[in-house]
Amino acid sequence: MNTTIDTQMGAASDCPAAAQGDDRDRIIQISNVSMRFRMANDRVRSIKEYFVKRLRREIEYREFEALHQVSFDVRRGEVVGLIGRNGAGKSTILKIISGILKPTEGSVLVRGNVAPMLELGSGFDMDMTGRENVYINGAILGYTEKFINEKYEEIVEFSEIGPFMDVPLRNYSSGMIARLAFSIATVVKPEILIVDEVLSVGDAEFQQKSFARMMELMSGGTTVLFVSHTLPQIRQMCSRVVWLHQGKVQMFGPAKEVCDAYETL
Amino acid sequence: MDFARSKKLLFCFLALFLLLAGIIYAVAYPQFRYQTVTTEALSPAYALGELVDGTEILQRTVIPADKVERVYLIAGTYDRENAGTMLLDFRELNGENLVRNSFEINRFDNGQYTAIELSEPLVGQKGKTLFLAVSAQGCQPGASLTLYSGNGILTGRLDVIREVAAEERCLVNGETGQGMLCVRIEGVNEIGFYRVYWFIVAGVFLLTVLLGMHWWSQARQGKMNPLVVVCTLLTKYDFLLRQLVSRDFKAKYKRSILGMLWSFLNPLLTMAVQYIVFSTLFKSDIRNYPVYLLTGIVFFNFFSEAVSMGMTSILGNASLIKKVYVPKYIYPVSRVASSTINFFLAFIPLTLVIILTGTGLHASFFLILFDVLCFLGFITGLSLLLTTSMTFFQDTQFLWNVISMIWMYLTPIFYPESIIPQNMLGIYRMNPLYLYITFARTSIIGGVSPEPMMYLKCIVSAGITLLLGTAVFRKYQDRFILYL
Ligand SMILES: Nc1ncnc2c1ncn2[C@@H]1O[C@H](COP(=O)(O)OP(=O)(O)O)[C@@H](O)[C@H]1O
Ligand SMILES: [Mg+2]
Repeated sequence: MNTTIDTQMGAASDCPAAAQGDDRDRIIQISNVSMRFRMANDRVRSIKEYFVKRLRREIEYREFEALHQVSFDVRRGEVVGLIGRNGAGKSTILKIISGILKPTEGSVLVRGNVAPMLELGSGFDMDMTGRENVYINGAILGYTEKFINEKYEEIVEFSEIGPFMDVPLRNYSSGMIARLAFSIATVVKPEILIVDEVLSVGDAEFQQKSFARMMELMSGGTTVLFVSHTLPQIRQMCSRVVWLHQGKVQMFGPAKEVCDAYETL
Repeated sequence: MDFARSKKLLFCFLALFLLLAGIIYAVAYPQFRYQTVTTEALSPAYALGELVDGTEILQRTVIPADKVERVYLIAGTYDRENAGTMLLDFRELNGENLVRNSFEINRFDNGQYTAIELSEPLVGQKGKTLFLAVSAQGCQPGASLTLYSGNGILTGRLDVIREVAAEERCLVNGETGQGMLCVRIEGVNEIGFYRVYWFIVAGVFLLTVLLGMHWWSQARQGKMNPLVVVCTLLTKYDFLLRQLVSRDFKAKYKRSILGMLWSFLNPLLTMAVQYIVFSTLFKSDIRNYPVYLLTGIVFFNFFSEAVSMGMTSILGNASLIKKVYVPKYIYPVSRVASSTINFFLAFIPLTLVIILTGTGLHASFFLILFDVLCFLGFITGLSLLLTTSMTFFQDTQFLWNVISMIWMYLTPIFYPESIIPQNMLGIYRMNPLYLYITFARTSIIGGVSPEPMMYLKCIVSAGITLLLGTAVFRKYQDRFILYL
């Protein structure tokens, strides 16, 4: 398990479909992306501190490499899973794909609109009601006002939290927030949907429902990037899987192969 | 980029530009053609004695303007009804009379500079030294007034005493008196600005069109430039922008019963308090103190609110920034926009006070549009700058609180500019807030357009701030996320 499969080559040989896919078919292309963070405890957070340290020449930064030379690509309409231990860099690479983070090195090419990342515990304004959040998030997705008005009922219905729509979000449970987020993000077919561990918080019934919705989207051509720690889910839904380990691509290939390898670890 | 809508936007922008240029020209034409100049005012120190038939007061003076239209004289009326005619002549030093004006002496207020419109203006003598001669006709002892002389120049609260050379002093019936006659001569010079105005407008228009076309073709090739950013913000993200604005606007009044009413009440209450406190101190120095005060308050409140809202825009929207990529300019811009709504609401009480105090709504009121646009640019630039700093250093906020307080005292909001020492005025007037507030006051209270130079200063200070703010924000925006 020490060999890191170098992406594009490996991917192409692993997957027969890739052989026919030309460049335009690759909706996401990630080449040699590295991401380095400055360590949090070294951060200077006040002007005074900054100048004091500057004068004493104490400013030095320790860097932490969260991603190292990561490359892989995703084809249009494909569902790609990301697996790996906590801290492996899964969320980081997803943020880079969304455009939220700029990589330190390497290039990212995304040919399509990315829906806001579905991620645990972020993305909503906790002081605003569910209704207000639907409108803001819809606006972020680029929906028009008319469209959200039309779809509002559908969103509420799908999320099953109707009575709470006029309650500030801080009174929601994390499962309810995930439901709302998922409902908003999938009310139309986004070109690219990014789901980071969100589905694991919903109850079994909602998970079932969201799978159905995601399947529907996928059949409609939406590309999905999907992080989960539940391997059966990954096996069921993904065509290919990226296994990240300590910021490097440990393995990239068909879902079954990668999951098998991950499980035997 | 949505090309069809962007095109519409571009045309709207150009149309707006021409409309504004037209309004400015229509309203400001007199000030673009003539510049008013005045000589310094002396504070009265010595009474020159009753002005009766046969008295003649001569004062050497340098004529400040092409066309002298007005003379201010200060007279003591002995608090009684006086009768008779005063004759005011401008004479060559060799005694040849140039123009004579005459008027009734009962028009003078006791001890105050009183304006005298010259029905026979003095034309074409700019820069020449002439005698101003005052004499009387039909003024009897016991029923006439006295003029004053002095040697202290009025600069607000302090007089600057000047050495007056012997030949500069006034002559009363041929004898050299003390100091100079207290007189202010006011007139207009023709300046050529109105002639070049449309050339400047056309030049700017052409440059804008050229730059727009250049950016447009760049955008077609998928390159980023300011046009793309602005158009994307206003077309693709317009609904988001509106949502963010209405969210911030709602959040402001969420926990108050009076809600939006506060936008009206707040400036009015501040004005009431400051009026009560400061009116005895400053009222006499300021024409129309209530409107003066309210204009200052409304403008400064807008500035301080918009900047402090804009400053926290990145930190305050952390949850959104961490979730989705949207051009980050949208956050400070939406905050400034929601404060702008408040600012416009505050114009309702302002207009009310303008009407109630009988100031009257002059055509020059529309020039505020130009002022506000520049002010918005300035505020947006500053917000971009400060929100960048704030994201990295959270003590920016505390620093800003101190700075904005100092800034408030350095801006003539409740006090008149005249309390500032003469030698500091140059620096004092470089304050951009001074520019925007003074511009507004001149157009609202003065009823005339500010001089052309003011326009330039407003545009330049807004432009520099906006460019600087945008450059800094753009440079650091990719790193914000790491500090949220
Ligand atoms: N903004 C940040 N600043 C510093 N370190 C970060 C930041 N974001 C993530 N990291 C680090 O990068 C590594 C990868 O994180 P992440 O991508 O969230 O892992 P996961 O695979 O569990 O989603 C972690 O060690 C985390 O501490
Ligand atoms: Mg994660």
